[in-house]
Amino acid sequence: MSGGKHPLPSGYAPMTLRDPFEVHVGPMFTKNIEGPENWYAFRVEARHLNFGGVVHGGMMMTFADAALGNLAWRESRAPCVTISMNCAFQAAVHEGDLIECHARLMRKTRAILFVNGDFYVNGRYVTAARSLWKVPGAV
Amino acid sequence: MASPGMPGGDLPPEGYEAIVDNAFNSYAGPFYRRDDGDGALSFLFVPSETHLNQDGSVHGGALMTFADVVLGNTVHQQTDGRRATTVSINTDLVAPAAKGDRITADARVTRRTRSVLFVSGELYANGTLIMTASGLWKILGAP
Repeated sequence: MSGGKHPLPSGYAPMTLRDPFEVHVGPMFTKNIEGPENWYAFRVEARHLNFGGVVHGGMMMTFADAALGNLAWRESRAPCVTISMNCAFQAAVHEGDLIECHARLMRKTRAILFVNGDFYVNGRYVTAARSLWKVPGAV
Repeated sequence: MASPGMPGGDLPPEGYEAIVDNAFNSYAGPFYRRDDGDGALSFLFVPSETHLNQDGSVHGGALMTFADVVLGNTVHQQTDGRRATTVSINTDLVAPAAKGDRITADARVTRRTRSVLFVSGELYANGTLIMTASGLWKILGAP
């Protein structure tokens, strides 16, 4: 996908979204970095907004879930499920902003993955996310 | 095909109104609320194909969005009409949900200060607990 309605942010490629809800709120983008860290992005549009023209907390959590989950699945090589997601919204994000998420796998045990997300707009820190993922069937 | 009067159809479920006070509430929903009197609120969300993971369960982000809407609406019952915004929200997903489940919620303000409200709640699918959520909301304009 290039140009037009959803231009590619510089350095990013389109993220293949397979979950219907992510397709609904997307598109999203990724830098496709290998290993326990990666970057993800999405651009805030009118449909993502809360009152007052700021991005809805639910959309931020959905993006965090998609991004951190993408990293968790890849590093666990298994279809993980979200068991916990915590977000702290530190600065307002507006329509047209490109939100970039630095996702990091902090720890992987046999059953649980710990993934952090740090979110920026133009280098300004806007949101912190902490998440836990469960590998189904593992104890 | 949804029929009038059913969630996803043209009309809200009996007694409920769709929460459409901002763009994302409309886009990610529909989410419904009902005023039960004396400040009590009921909430309802019936996930459709739009709200799913590739494996057919309800996407965590859709449930987190509903939780944010539920907690935020609960907070606004106690802000004397002033706007408040989510500062922190935690969701623990204790069980999965499926398309067509009747997802309901209970929530309550646990502490209200002049500028910050603490709120917590639970989400249920057909009466079974699926999520616990809590958060902090900040009243806009208050120090």
